[in-house]
Amino acid sequence: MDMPTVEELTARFAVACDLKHPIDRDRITECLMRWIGGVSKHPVRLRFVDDYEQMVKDGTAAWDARDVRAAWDAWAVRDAWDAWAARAVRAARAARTAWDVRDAWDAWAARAVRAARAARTAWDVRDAWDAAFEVSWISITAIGAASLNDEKAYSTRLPVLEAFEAGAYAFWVLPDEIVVATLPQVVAVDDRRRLHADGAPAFSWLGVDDYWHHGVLMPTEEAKDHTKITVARIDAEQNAEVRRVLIGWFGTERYVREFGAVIVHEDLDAVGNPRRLFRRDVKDDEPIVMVEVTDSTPLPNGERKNYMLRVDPNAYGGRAAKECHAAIASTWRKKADHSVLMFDRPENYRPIIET
Amino acid sequence: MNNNHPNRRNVPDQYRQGDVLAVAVKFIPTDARETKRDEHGRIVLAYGEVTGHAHAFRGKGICGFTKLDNNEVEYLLIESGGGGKTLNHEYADGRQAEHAPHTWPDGKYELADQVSYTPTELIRERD
Repeated sequence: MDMPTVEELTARFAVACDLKHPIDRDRITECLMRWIGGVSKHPVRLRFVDDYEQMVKDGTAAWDARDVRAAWDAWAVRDAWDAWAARAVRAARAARTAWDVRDAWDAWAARAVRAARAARTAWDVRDAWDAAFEVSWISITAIGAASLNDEKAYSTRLPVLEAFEAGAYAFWVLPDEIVVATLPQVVAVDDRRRLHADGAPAFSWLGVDDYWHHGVLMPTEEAKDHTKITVARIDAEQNAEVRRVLIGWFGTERYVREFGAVIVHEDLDAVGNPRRLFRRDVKDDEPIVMVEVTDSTPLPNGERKNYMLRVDPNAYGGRAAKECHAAIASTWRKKADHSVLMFDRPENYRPIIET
Repeated sequence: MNNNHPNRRNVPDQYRQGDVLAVAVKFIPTDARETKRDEHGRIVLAYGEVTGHAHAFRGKGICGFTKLDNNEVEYLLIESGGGGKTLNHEYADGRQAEHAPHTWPDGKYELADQVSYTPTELIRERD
């Protein structure tokens, strides 16, 4: 078999990772059956799954049947796959574009784990996920095989890459059957490869729409309509990240000013603009401390924008919760490690020029 | 502008433009590598998340360095020959964005990130 170059394979893979190519179910079937034929003599059928509930049922069955399935070779291939994939992915570093897809997958896996923690009945969701073969990830091994000049491994793994190119996203292996799910309708990520979209689902698959905000899975109702957010809803939110996003959508200023915040300190910055430090006590949690500052550069209409920054109340020995300048100084951190303050003392933060 | 801050003894020079802050340092780590310029030939210190604007230098006499995996500028060396270099807050086509430009003198600088605090994560601010 003639192996294409790593660059050629990587380019193909990058196109597939856009997840926007047309889905060809006949081609997926042909590729995956060819893959199965290369790793096992066990006769299997192939079926597509198109809704979430059915996927969970099939995935749970796949997990429950894993001992039976071990009788045929595909599962053994899967067991060895991760170790081999790690080696191959190292060899296929140019295939970095896969990470967008992989991150979306990991986010969904984390979602399944959270669901399982929240309700015992959701354990089947996690089982389904644990049993899944993620096609983009496995596809990388074809590139890795080419990088390693391993013709046999390449020929075995190429059909999975081809199935990915034809629109396969995940599959589950049952005793006598492979169940395939095709690409999600939407996968939107931000510049840090976190699932994210404003006012729209960032991930839509098998009839389920998920709203993510920079990697935070948000409650659908509030994500679709921010006017549904209330102070009571924010205070009832258990997850700190979700609460932070809800406060941002609700309006930080509105939240802090109108609902129980007190001004701890106020002064003027070095150019005479007002600064204020707010504190809002939160039951059974540390207080929310926010500093309000004014933009040094006026807008074209002469107005200046105020903005709020939440600060670590413990920074500088607690001074950040008491003094505006210490609060602002505490927001500046080392690029290499945001846990490290840029300035040893708040007094050392003194810009010569600010715009 | 705040050029006359009292009691600057032992406080390194600092320049801030929006969410970009540079602090003068005596040296740049020897293991920092040079960063690439963007497709417009600029050294970009920070991009706006939703607006497409950037805090950026143009032209010669300036070089970015980093030890970060993401190739973001962590240190700056300005050797303009005397006049310093002007940091612009601009759109890709050069139009000025929100913050006024200002000139940084020749020297070495370390850049800082501005963060918002949450109990579980420090989140970088991007204007």
